[in-house]
Amino acid sequence: MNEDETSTGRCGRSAGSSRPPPVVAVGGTLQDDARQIDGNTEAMSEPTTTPLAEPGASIGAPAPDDDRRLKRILYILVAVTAVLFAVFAVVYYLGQRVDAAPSIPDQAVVKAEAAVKDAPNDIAARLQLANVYAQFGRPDDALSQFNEILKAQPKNRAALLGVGAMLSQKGDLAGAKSNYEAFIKTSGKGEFSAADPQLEQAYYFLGVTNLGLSDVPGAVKALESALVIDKTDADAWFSLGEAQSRAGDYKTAAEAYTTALTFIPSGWCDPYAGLQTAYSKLGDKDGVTFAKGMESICKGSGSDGVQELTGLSKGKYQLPALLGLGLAAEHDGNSSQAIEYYTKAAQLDPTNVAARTALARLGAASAAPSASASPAPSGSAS
Amino acid sequence: MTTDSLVPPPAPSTEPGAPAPMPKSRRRLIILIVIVAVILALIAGLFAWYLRTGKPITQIPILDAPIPPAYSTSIYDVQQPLGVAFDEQNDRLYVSQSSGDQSVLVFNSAGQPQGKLTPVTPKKKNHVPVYIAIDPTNSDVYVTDRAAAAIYVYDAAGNFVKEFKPNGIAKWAPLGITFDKNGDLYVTDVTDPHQSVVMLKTDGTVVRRMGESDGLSFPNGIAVRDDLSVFVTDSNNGRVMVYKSDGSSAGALPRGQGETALGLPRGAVFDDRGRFLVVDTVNDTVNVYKPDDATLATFSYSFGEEGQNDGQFLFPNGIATDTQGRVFVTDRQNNRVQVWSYR
Repeated sequence: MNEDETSTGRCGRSAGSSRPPPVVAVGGTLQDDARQIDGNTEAMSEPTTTPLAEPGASIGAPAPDDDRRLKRILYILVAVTAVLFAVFAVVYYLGQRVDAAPSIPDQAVVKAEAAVKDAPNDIAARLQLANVYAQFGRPDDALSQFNEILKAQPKNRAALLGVGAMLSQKGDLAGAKSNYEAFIKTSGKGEFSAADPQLEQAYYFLGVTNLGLSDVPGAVKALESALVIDKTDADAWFSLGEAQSRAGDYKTAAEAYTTALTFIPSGWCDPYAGLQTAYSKLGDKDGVTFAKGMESICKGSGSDGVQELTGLSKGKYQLPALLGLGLAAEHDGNSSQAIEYYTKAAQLDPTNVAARTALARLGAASAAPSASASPAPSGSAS
Repeated sequence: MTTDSLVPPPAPSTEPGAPAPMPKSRRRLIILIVIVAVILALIAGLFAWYLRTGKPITQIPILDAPIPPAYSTSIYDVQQPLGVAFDEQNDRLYVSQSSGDQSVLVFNSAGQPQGKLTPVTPKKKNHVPVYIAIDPTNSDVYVTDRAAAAIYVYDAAGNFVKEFKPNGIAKWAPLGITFDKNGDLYVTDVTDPHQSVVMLKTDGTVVRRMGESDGLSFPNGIAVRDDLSVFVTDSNNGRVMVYKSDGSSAGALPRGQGETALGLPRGAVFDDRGRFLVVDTVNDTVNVYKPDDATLATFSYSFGEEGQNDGQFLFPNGIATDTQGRVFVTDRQNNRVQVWSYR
């Protein structure tokens, strides 16, 4: 028998009795209490049914009136609590409620849509709307606008690139590829093709798309074309590393990852992970240690990274390891330790820009040896 | 169930004058009354606290959970805002804009425009207002002007009062600015070769310089803790320098990696709960540090990310807080001031 059964049973018995019902069943629920309180209120309106005292009760036993008073107090307290809570909730809600201003995307969309509505044949306005949709995560709407532009101007460069990007975002890699190829066909031999940033983008995205389609040779070719236009595109170097790694050319992959890291040396962990794989396949244990250490530092596990890099006290990874150790010390706020590492790195290679820049940043430019000094024979991997 | 299983109630005492045992039902009633009374008292206390402070309930003093604030809204119609300060007494939010008419715009805390502050100086002089501080003693508004290498002072009504000039300093380049609770002024001076922090009285008396030998590189934001420790964002060095109340160095908050990284720290402030908030301009975040550390501060969490949506930043710069759990951040390239709240 559970507690509810107990209370129900007792209430049931008392209902048919001439004795007043027990006030609250032992172990009863709050609902039971409420029912009891209601029942008791009715009882109070019929004074003749209230006995003076229970037969057999001692002289000092509490009278049922006391229970009623307590119940009434409880009832009032519950009501006051509920009302106070409700008032507090309303006041709090009204006080904390903020009608947020329209977001930048919403404002931009409203403005661009109004411009297209005003001039439906204005390609520039429609392109602006398509780009706004694309920028703020509405690929279907963007695609629709780009396609509208292509109906009027089948060779519109921005629309071709935009359709490729949107299809890629929606997972239609084959469709994206054909658009990038169409763009390249249109612009690949133009007067400014050797320095065309949009063409470089098209090659880069075609390379990444080919990689997604497992067309590794196509990816390598496209990414190399992108790098012919812009040799400083770190993303293209990284993707080339990924492509070469999948092609099994780990030496070229390692070089590509290293070049990518030359442009973005910290805060970008993926190339270090790629380097680990490449060095591992090449059987370069020191290289793996270096890449692993740098990845640890990059991901915030500075102590693990320092442990790895400290072991590289000689060989071709000594210099990059010193730079990595300096970076880790700098990030830990240990400037003197950082200066020590950077100074050693500058002594190994007096022309090393990273070491000299770091020393200058730490106010220790004088610690760097003259750039005309001969580098130490241990060489450099960076 | 059989009646045999019922336990008979204890026989009542027949001894005359002996106190009768309290029935279980009554004891239960009393317990319920006590419980409800306690709940009522808690709600009443919470309500009273809310009416007094206006803070969201996440800021109840006994709670110390590291809960980041949430994006609330934005104030637009500002052009490349840099500095921000909130005057609690007069419900004024001051925002310096580095583009457009390069004035200091004044809003109320609901974001409604109230006017602007423009220095009265020769027209040829270029102006770029940067950081703003409110004098706690009289609500005067101090604005550093990078282009003019000056600090302009306005009264709480928005009238230009004067150009603040330090005694005995012929040439300086004030950038960051703040007041401590006693009304003393702190200014970062980015004059080479020894960029430093200058502590001054409002009459221009120089109290001391700090950090001259620390290689500071464009120190930006300054925040003074209740114990008068001075926290300075050493922006180009990617660190926060800390000075004790006597001006001696107490070390630096490390640059960190990953989430704790400080790329280009700029605006900084202590809120009324002692949390230290630092804007990282290039990481598009605000780092928040725990207030409970003896000397420095411990990273707690960060909020914000790069972008243009609500709650995203593009080169945020200045920061201010109020006593109602709100955080104001100038979102420079998005041309807005974002309002975050600990609700």
